[in-house]
Amino acid sequence: MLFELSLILFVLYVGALLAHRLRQSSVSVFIIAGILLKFFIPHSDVVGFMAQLGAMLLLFTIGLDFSPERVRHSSRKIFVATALDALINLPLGILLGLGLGLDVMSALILGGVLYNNSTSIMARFIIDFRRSALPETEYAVSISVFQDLITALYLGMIAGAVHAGELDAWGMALILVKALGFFAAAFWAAMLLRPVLHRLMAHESIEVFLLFVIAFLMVLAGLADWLGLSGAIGAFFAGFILPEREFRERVDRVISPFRDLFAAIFFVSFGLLMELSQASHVLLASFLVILAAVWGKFGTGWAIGQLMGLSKNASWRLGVALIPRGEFSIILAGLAPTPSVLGMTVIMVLVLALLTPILMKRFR
Amino acid sequence: MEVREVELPGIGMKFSFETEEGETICVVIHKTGRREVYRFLSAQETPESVIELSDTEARELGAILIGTHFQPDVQDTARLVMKELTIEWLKVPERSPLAGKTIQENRVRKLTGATIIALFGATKKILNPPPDTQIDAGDTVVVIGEQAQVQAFKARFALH
Repeated sequence: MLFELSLILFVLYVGALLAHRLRQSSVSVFIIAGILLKFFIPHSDVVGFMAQLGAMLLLFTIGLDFSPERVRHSSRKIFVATALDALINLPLGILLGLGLGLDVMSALILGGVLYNNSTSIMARFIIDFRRSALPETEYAVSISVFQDLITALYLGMIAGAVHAGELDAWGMALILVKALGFFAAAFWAAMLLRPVLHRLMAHESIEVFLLFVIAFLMVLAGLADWLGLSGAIGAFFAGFILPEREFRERVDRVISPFRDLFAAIFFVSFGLLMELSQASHVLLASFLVILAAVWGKFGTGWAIGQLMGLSKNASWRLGVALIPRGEFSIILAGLAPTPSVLGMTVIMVLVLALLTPILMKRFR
Repeated sequence: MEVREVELPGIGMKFSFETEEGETICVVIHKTGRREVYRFLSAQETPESVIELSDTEARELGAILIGTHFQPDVQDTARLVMKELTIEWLKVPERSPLAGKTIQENRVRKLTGATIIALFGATKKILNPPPDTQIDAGDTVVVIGEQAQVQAFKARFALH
């Protein structure tokens, strides 16, 4: 086991170095590393477990970007823009999935995969292309963050449904109630527990602080798991509840080393799980998925631009900014009963990561 | 002059204002500490120029702009304000009325005219704290205002 781990970590090191040098998203490099490693080592339980930790830590940090205050203080415009984005891209993905002959559950998952764009990859491109101050960027980043909230709920429901096995109307309704209930409870807990959490987190010892944050994360993940949702959604809401402003930096400092390590293993594990022989079968489907992924977001950009009075160029740029997909799509795809969904998603994530900078140069 | 402030999740904070000539100046402070200063000509959507600064460079430039090293001779009121503008770092003692309350509750700007532009504590570092930010004993507040306003601030909230 140690030999396999050492091999994985060495390849990850080289991959991270390469990604940094080429200024590429490390997500795609790690997935490719996993695909290459597949020839040498099998996917094991240990890797699977570390990957699961990685997914939870990733979602926790995504959740940190969020707080009840943000939900309450955000303008109507952002809610409308977020709704437009969901109304265009979720159905698009679901219909495409059904059109490709997937089962209902996999089609629903494909909807989520196409809908959620990667906040972190997008932020990186926006910074690299010096677009932080442009008018559409406010929409792009806010939509992307709200998208994560919606996707977390969606993920919770899907995980619940997959867990339950059968999909009848009652079961679905129950899961929906559970997921929304969990969200509502998290929201109120966040408001009520703020002062207490604040005091607990203000502890001077970094060790106490670290263990508090991790324990908090795990308790919520365990709770969500027990409710039949998904550990990941619990982790997301753990980030949501923790007081954002004052402790953001400190949480980042203690959590990010763990997150970076386990998230890297998480992406490698997807490479390890990919069936290469299958990749050739899904090429055509992947092509359609990529087309839908690109044009769906252009559609979003256009619709939001029309409604909010952005210029034509800004609308195009908004669409492009929303194109990169990432960790959330992969987590969702991992739940799909049809294995080809994961293959398509991984190919899509890789292609879009390469395509986005080209499109960004094209649409100035 | 109205400064518009927007949070860009995943990136940082954006501050923008319009100059008298109708240009828009936009400062983005990244989470990493990097600063970008965008200059938009009036009615233009893409920036005319972008200046990139590291954290240290930005602070140094800020000090120069505010007149730390050289202050021009006072001739009109605009400059007078500039010359009298001061910034002070003040530690908040237990007995200060500031401690344990939010900026809003203390009506800082209304009562003294001074503005709290940053707040530092053992675990926090808040630039431009919103009105609902709580100040605790032991925190350090950075306050900006005219001499008299800052004096009033110190007297009113027992900071010496």
